Amino acid sequence: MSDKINDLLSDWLDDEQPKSTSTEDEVIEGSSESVADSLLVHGLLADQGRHDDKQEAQRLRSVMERIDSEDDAESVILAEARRPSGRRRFAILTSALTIAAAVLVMFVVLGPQQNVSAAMASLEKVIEAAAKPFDRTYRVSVIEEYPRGKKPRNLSQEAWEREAEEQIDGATLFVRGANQFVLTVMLRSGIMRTMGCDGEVSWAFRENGPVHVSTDLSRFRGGMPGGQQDLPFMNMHAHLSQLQSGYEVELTDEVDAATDGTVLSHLVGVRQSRDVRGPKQIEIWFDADSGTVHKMVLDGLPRGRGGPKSVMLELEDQSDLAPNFFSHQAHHEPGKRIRYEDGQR
Amino acid sequence: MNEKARRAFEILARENSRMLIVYLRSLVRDEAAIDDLFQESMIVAWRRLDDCDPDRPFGPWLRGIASRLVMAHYRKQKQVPVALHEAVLSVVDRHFENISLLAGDTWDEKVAALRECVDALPDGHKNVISGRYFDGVQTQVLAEQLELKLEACKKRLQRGRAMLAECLRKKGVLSAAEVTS
Repeated sequence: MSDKINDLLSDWLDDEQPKSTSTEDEVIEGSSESVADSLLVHGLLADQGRHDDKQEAQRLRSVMERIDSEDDAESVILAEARRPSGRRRFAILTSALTIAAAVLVMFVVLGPQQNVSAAMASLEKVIEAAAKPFDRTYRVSVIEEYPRGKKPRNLSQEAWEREAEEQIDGATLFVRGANQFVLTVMLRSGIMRTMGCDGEVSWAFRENGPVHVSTDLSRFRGGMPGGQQDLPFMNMHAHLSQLQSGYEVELTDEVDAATDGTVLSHLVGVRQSRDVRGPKQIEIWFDADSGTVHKMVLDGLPRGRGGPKSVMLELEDQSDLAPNFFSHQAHHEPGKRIRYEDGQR
Repeated sequence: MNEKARRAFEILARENSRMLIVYLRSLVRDEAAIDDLFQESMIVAWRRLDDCDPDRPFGPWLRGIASRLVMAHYRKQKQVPVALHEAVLSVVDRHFENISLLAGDTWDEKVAALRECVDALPDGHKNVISGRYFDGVQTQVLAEQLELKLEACKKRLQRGRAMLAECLRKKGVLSAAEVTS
């Protein structure tokens, strides 16, 4: 091991205020065996010096207690969610938990200014990643429906009575970059509806009908949750970009792990005013290294058209799709009738 | 999850807790952070238990979670130690895997050779290692106690660790270095 590496390790392991530089990557890589040896020996020695059976037992007890308390809370929420008549209580419970969490966060988070800049830096990374032309497949699930007990005063009778034709729960959303997507949903009639956008035209068709094509990229999103707002839920990139202006964004201390063990960071965006046309709250779990969104929760979607209150998108796959996957031709048989809605051909 | 899964996890957690704490002590110096990372690693493992392949050992999967949390911890502080290079972490993991295969029912039994190796150190090195790790003396204070310059004390500590690594490798605790062609 070189003197330089020795000094670096010695500084890090033995100084009271270790320094850290980030310019030694290649040097470290070449000495990885001896550096790893030192780290392991340090760990073994530190453990020999500090090990305490009682403390170890206490650590484990704390873990199991936390697991038990999380499970208890989950059981309460699930029990409430399963009872249709209890939706209001569920909403009150989740609201109370959210408020409690928000209050805790207010006290715990170090400096608000520092947190805001960290949040915006993370958001920029997420937006950048979402704009890259990589393929991602998300599973859509409905987290909560609006209660059907009493019509809100500001909602028309027609909007209140309308039932959504699309069953969003269980739908699959394919995304490539900022403006290409394909969404397949089952209609209540049992017929499949496929819609998408290849960046140049938007299109939609039912399995038993013609393909509608339009140069208006937002033409066929009307029935989707958020479709009557500026942003339907399937435009992930636009949602992320919108967070930069109309939302108060916070990077929380929460971490989760993806199925492959990737550590996920957590961003929460809360709509600043009713003038902003988007969900009330957007939560994002993302890979801190790549910026890839692994989970996104859109809460407080528009109430009309019978859509759900909140939906969740979960990353299912990141493998490459066929180059023409986002054009309608890739999703139906060659002879299908095509209707160009704006005279184009 | 049901009570059976909870019990199974508790057994896995107990079997791997010492390994996890040593792993974290290898990568993190702040004891409070080590406690937090220990708890967070276990909790993430519990939440993701369905993703753990039952045909593979639990330890490496748990270390994978822990290493990502450690890196996230340093990134949050905007200070990732240069020593924690991906290649280094991979070798550290290999060493832990090697230890898990050693004879012995407990962690202490598996790494019993450490004490023998410390005892076999020359006095000068044994004194700094014992003072720093077993008596918990800060490096600056240790240097003063042993009438050494701080830099000399740090060099002796580093040399002592290297000698211990050599001894532990001979005793089969550390895995043999991988030869790259």
